[in-house]
Amino acid sequence: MVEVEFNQQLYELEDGANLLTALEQQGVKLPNSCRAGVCQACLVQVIEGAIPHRAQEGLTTHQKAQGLAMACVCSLTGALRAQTPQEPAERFVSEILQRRWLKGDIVQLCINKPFEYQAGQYARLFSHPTNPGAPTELGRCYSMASLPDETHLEFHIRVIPSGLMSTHLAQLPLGAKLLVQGPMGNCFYQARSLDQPLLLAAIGTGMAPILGVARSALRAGHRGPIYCVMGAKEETGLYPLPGLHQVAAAPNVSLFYIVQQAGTYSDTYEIGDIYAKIRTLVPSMKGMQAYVCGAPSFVKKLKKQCFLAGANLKDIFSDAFLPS
Amino acid sequence: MSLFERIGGAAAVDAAVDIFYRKVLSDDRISQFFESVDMEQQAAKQKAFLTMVFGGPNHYSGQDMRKAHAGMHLTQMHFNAVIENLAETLKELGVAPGEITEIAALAGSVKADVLNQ
Repeated sequence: MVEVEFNQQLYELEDGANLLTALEQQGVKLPNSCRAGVCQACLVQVIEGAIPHRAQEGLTTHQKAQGLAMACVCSLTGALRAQTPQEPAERFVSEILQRRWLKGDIVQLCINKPFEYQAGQYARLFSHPTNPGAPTELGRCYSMASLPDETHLEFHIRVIPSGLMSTHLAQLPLGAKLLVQGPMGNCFYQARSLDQPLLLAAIGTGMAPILGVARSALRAGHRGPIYCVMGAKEETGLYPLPGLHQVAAAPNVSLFYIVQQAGTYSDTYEIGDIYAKIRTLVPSMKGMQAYVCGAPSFVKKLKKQCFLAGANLKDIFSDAFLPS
Repeated sequence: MSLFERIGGAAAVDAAVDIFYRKVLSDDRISQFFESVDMEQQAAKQKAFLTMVFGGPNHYSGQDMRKAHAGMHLTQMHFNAVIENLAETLKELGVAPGEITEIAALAGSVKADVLNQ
């Protein structure tokens, strides 16, 4: 017999049995479909124990790193502790170290770093009950604009006048406490080779995490071409990003700013459609990787465009932001 | 050897899913049915579908098929489009004509359920 703990419940299962079938026989209900190690409907997260190779065949690097495994092709060879796949649940207490307006309606917030993460990932922020008027049960996700080796977490937050969370965060004093949950998201640098061509595209505050992806690619010694396209509706949507100059100076990086509507300083950016720009820049995306951050409609449309241009689904990483 | 093993099992499904889904999304006859759905979720469904038509282990029932396609007003033209995209995908992957015929027959077996006949 093999001891298997699933969602904190202990089961004695037959040696060599199939995890999905064996759990079902114990009355555990797991979502499933193909039962052949293909559709990934039955993913579980292994916290302890060896995962058979077959149970992770075809999963992404990120999924493997999280300990995800397909229960339907997981033969029990030893003790296992597993659970329904989950986001990191703990909320860390953190403190506001710096807060300033970057440009227009974007506020920069720096807080203590309570966890390690990869550039391009995001965290969920909650206000602390000690803050006056805190919408305590409101959790909102923001991408880290800082780099993993910096000592703090930096966020660029667009303040929406009707947004409960952003207006609250924008007026908190230095030293105010926040609760931070994370890191989450799979939009971080994970090229299959240092020579793979990359498309990095973002609009609005998606530019900060995308720049983080570019910086970690360069730091990893990425040699392939990196097409970096940043877009905004209007000129005021483009704001100064730390580290941008170093990224732009790298010989394998081509950086483009695209603005939909003409403004005063049109020599620093192009006016046009970001989708058309990307189509001209990389007509075929076969073998390429794409990293996309921004509003949900942008992310959805560009992902589809990348896929139709030949990029594999497993090579497209994205984060969609909701204004809040 | 079963059909599924002959064409390469789960690895063949993996190789086929992107090509097949891309064709479906680019096909004006049927692309509108996929406009609003989440790409990852849809790709998972395509994988389950391909596993079934490749003769692999699956738990598709006629009822599932019927429910999933109910109210979409699908016609023979839509069904043909899917079969054509499937055959083109297999051709691109170098699957032998005999096996393509077998796969098309398996796909054909769900026609009545998909078209709500």
